[in-house]
Amino acid sequence: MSSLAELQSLMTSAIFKGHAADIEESLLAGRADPARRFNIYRNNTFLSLSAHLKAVFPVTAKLGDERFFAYAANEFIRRSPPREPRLSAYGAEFPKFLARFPASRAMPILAEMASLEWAVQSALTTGTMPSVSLDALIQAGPEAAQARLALQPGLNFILSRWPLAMLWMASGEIAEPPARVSTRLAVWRAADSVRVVSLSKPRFAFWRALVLGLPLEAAAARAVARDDGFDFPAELRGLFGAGLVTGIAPQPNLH
Amino acid sequence: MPTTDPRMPLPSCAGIGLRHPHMAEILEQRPSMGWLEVHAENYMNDGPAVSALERIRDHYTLSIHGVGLSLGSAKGIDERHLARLKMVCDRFEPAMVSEHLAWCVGDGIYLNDLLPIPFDEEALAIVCRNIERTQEAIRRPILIENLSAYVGFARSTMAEPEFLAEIVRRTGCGLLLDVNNVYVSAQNLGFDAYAYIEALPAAAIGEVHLAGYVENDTPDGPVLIDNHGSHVSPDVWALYRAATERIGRRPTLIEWDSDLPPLETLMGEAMWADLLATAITAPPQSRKANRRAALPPSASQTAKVAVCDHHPLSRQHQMEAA
Repeated sequence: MSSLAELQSLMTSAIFKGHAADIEESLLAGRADPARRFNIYRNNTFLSLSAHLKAVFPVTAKLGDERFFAYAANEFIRRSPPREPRLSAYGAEFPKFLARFPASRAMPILAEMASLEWAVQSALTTGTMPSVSLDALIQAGPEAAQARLALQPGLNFILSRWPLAMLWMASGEIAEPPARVSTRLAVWRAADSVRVVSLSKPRFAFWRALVLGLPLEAAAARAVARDDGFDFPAELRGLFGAGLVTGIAPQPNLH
Repeated sequence: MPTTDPRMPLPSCAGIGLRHPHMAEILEQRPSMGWLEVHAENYMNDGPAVSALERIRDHYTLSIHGVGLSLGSAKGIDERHLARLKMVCDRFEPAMVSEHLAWCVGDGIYLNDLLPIPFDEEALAIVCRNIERTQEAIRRPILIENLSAYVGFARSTMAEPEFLAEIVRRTGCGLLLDVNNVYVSAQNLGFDAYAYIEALPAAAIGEVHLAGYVENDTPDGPVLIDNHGSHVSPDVWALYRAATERIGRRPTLIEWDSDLPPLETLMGEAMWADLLATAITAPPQSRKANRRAALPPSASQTAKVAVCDHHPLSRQHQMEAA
């Protein structure tokens, strides 16, 4: 007789391989076929995880056709099952999976929409930090140019070839295939809601440079390189005003 | 080691399983309800749901029900997940914490389903070790829920009630009696649900669960699936009645997870559980007046307001372990 550890390992394998031959003799099911009964657990695992993925990626599911999504989700679960019981963390790799999955290569928009939907999910499950005011930066005086700004931890960026924000707002309900358009989005949580905001090219470069840890002056330079009309003071006011800045390093010298 | 009696920190009336779609309505209308139970794993991240539950916690007694600890795992429980459970308990100060007699993590994979274990000495030792570790980490006793099962094991050497009683004796935990699970398992595996409840250690039962199941036709005949997606069935109400007669009135939860109905439907089911328990446990002279509660409920029964008197505006800090 196998140990409980061995039995559980065989049962796990049976769930993912789809046949219960290795454990059939261990099981009882009254007058029913034990292997057939065991398949209930397999169905529960795959159906509940598919439902989770559909709840996290509803627009992707709609854009790709529900049957295709069910197929893709099933393959994803088989290849990349969850590794922890906190399901809110499950699905981070799904956009990459869709990008490489042969059956979805003809629709690259699916992987990009999934990236946006995962950014929304991340924002919903990532904590927010208290924001700091622009005054704190102003008090740093000339040293502010070399300050590094910490931004909200749930802030994510999406770069796409498709009008993702429009499609997401319309929940994927579109009459015709969308035309390509370069899209830069920022996603973050503000209080109890998630903000999905379309960014201009220079603002996208500025915010991303800050998240990468560049000093303010260097981050602004990246923005100016894309648009020499970049209004740095107004951009700073907007950034702080949105509650996105959570820290300034080094701390401004107030003496 | 447990430092408080696990048996009755929840009010002895009906509560409902709280799911996200009902949170805003509860915060807005603050309906009278005995208590609320949430799944621990839904509150292990920061987010709007957590802040909503913190506000709800100010007005209702809360119970935390884990679904991912995998107490039946031979390889032990995940310490990181246990730390997250402790964080949830510390944050919400629930009146009760419960988990399942099941495993859900195999070879490092989370199966998102609760699987049964054999009832033998090896499994008993493993489950008790995992329960003791959990109670030590969260510094309070927990309740262990019986599972709905579709298969049993040839290697089992004892019946589930005997197995559960031994867990209680060894670890000091309490029991969560899921009446629907008993009924579903009994139908699927061919045992007597009433005898099962009769064999449980009644004093250890600190909570009862009620839910709906669905019947599927298979080549082997019908199989009952515990889907938490419908009204409590008349057969399960009858078993609940027998259980209440046997163990007395207990905090009773209406669980509904799929095809979630309006909040008032859940409150209607909770109202029925309260009426039934009141009728069963009332003194003999008043039972005649309550006889109507012994009639089977209608599936269309709903209520705007629950009849339970308990509205815990104050928290139950005294129930917390040191």
